[in-house]
Amino acid sequence: MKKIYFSYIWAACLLVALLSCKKDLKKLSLGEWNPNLAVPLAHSTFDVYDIFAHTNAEDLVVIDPNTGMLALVYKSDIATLSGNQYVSINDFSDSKSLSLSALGGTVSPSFSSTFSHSGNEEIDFAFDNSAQIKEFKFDDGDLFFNISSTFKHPVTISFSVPSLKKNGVIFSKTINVNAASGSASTASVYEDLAGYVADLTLGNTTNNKLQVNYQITVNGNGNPILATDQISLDFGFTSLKMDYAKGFFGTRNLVVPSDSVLLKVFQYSDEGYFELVDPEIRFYLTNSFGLPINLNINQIKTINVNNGQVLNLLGYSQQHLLNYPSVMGDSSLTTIVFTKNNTTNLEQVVSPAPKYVTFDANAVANPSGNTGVDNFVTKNSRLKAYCEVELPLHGLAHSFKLRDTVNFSTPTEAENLRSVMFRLIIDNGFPINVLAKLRFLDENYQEVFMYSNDQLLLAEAAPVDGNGKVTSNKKKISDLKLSENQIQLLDHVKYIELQAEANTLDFASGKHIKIYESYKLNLKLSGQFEGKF
Amino acid sequence: MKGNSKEMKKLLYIIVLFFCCAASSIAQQNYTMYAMTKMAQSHYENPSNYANGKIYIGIGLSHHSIGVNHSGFTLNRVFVPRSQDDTLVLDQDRLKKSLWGRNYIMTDVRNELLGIGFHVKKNYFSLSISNRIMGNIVYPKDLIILGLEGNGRSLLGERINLNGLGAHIDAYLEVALGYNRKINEKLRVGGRLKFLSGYGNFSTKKSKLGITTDKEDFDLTVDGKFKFASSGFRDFFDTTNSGGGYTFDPSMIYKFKNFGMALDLGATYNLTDKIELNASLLDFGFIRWKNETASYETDNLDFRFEGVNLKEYLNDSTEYLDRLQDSLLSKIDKDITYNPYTSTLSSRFYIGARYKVTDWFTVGVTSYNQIVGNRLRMAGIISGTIQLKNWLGFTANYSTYGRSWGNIGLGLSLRGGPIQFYVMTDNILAINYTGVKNAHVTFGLNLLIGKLDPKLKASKI
Repeated sequence: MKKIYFSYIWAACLLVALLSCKKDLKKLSLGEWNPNLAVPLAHSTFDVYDIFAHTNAEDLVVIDPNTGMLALVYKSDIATLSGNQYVSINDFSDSKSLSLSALGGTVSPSFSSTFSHSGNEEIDFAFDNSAQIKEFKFDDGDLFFNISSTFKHPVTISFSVPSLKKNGVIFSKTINVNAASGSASTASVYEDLAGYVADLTLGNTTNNKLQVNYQITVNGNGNPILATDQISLDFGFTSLKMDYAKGFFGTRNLVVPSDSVLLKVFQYSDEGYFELVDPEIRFYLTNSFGLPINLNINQIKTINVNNGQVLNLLGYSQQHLLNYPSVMGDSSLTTIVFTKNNTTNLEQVVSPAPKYVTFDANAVANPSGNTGVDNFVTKNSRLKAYCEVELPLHGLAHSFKLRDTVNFSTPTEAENLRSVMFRLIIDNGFPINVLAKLRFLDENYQEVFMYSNDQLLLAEAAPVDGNGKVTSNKKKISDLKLSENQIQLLDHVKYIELQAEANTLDFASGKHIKIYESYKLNLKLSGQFEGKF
Repeated sequence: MKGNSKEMKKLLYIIVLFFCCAASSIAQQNYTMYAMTKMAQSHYENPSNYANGKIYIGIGLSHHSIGVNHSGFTLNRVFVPRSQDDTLVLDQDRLKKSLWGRNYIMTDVRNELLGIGFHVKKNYFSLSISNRIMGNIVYPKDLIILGLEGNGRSLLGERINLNGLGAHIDAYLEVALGYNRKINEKLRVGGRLKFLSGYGNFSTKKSKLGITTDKEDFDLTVDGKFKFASSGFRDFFDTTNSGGGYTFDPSMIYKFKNFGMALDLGATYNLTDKIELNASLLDFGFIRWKNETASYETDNLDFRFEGVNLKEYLNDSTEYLDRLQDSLLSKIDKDITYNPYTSTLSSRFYIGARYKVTDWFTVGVTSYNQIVGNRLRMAGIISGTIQLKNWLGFTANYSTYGRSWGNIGLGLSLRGGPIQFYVMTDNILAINYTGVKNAHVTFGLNLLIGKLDPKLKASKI
């Protein structure tokens, strides 16, 4: 039994000892919890097209296929003049009354025989600007004849225009007019002129003229012929449109409206200095008008809209006679190139980061008058002029400032944030340093705080060789840590304004760099947020 | 005595060896019952054991057991008093130090509904119907560190190791037919054939996941693969189910809709008059799950999240974010399948030895082993058992398991007439629940009829 008691006592002691060790777990606290989350936020690889031509990749052109060297080329159509605008023909109409005597008839109480009368009318077309047209092909239009007869006899009228042909066939029409009974009898005819070619020289004797021949035959039916009987003719050309015209179109001024080329690379820049090697301004004029045209470029200037600075291009040739085709349907190209060699200050006018290059020009057709060589123009003739401004990405730049704003919202309430750090990693394949300031703005774009009063070097320029070409990328890790005060203000921040400044490598020493198609910039943005709960 | 001394040395050697192996292990509990060989229910831990009466009957109250084991930390280890008051504050450093690379929360519940056993000459027959629930949740240390400190401190630049994250849960009705026989004076062997009717399962079939945060740019790389199968949990995954959800139908249990089988084997061998060797293999079987199944499997994951692609975002932010979301989800958003599958039970085996010190006092050493997932878990137990009278038994043991060295088990059996009551625990220290990793209790009430013929006993111990 002692053994039994011993066992029970031992177990009881053990139980008491265990219970005495028990802690009070009613007042448990998890304490402060500060999880630290490191997350990738954004990334991208930017190539030359993303950086220099993100709105239109065609703005960036490889100007040296062997090396991949690039230039920014901005184009703009300056003016377009079409053939229909240049030559227009006015409508023409005429009327004629032929009395009995003019027709060669006589009064008769009962006429059963016939008599005829032949005649012609000369049409003198009026062209704008006193143009002297020798040949004209109609694209559209109508030729009409209206006849009115008081004869109580049938009348037959035949028209022909020997110089108006369609597919080699002379225009001719015959109209029968019924015998009048009480009132005059009428008849009409319309002819679609599309496809007709008019020789307006009346046998190489003149210009702008056409002759209409007619023959009138009165067929007696036994009714009387009165002394007052007559025949009236109305005819005309209406709604005329040109297919082509030949001749001399006169000396005249052509309106070339002022225009400009937007230099997008400077579109968002506040300021900056560029020193580009061999910029060019090129005009391309494609002309399918068969006549000499002289282009007068009155003014070329650059405008910086931010500071109002205007710089005129000087020392360039203003007068340019444009090439023109000798065969209808062809076109000729005239290229006018302004470089530093044929201007005085081309490199200087693009240096202050201008937003626009503007032009003012006018043109004169047949500036030497009628030289005896026929002009021609078709309805499809165009004089198209456009301009290219080529900025080779070779040179140096500094203080090139950009400003942009992005939306911002905190991932959680600022009071729950203990620390915030943004890490920006830029692996830069461009020989360009980028410095920046960050302004945190409220909903009214008012500054809540500036991250740093000093500019931060965010991207470090890649090194270049003696030719200005990058030899290797340059990596830069920037940790942007917000202070506790700045974190507390984050709740008010709605936008972040980035004020960036770009400078080419060693610009101060005048080092020129080149931008090649193969350059890339890798960007990584990540964040580390420590909570406070 | 000399012979006894040698045997004791051997036993000590075995003890040391077991405890070294078990030092970093966890295990399931019911070791105390294993040592209580006079109990009818010890037949469940070693089928070569038997009831200490001609006939044993248990209805409803015969055997109830629940055990919980956490391999990670104890509450008093990670909550420390604050200096300014008596508040207990979580000490995150202590918590991290308390965790192992892979940590387990295990539960084992057994409720016997009916138990019958009887002897026929050298044979012992048994029938048992039990409800069993076994759960095993695995969580890696890095998961807790990730929750405590995020990925921006010690895990920055490291692979957050989530390998093994998952759960294994089995719930089933067990109908067991047992038999054992005394082969000769030294050996007794037994076995139990069990028919299983599952009513709930969650099996993490594959769990090899990792997240790496790049030290420089914080890019997140996810690698690995995850696969699970389940039965009875479909409502958690079936997003198309707009009805009233899954309703548990008890009839599915007796209809054996999720049928399985398992085998227990055991043997007891008397090496000498004083030393007994024993071993058992338990729950070696499977369940075929057909009812309300839902399975999910990812592809081999290996993707890197680098944040938003600025160029694409600036081009079309809405469309891009939709595409990004779709792209990320496509890595893990795989269709749930509803095919039948098979799960294996978490098999266990004991191997041990007992030494008869006196007629009424024996000591023993036991190694307990369990296969959880693909891993072997071990525990080491030394025990002492006092069988004072036929109606009174007492056992105590010291065990190490669940990365816990200090577990003291106690067991008591009392018999008055045909009624036998018993209660036992693998860790009495769990009364102070703040300082333990393991808690366990088993109790029951048996009806024992008749006195067993001593000649039928296999063991002389």
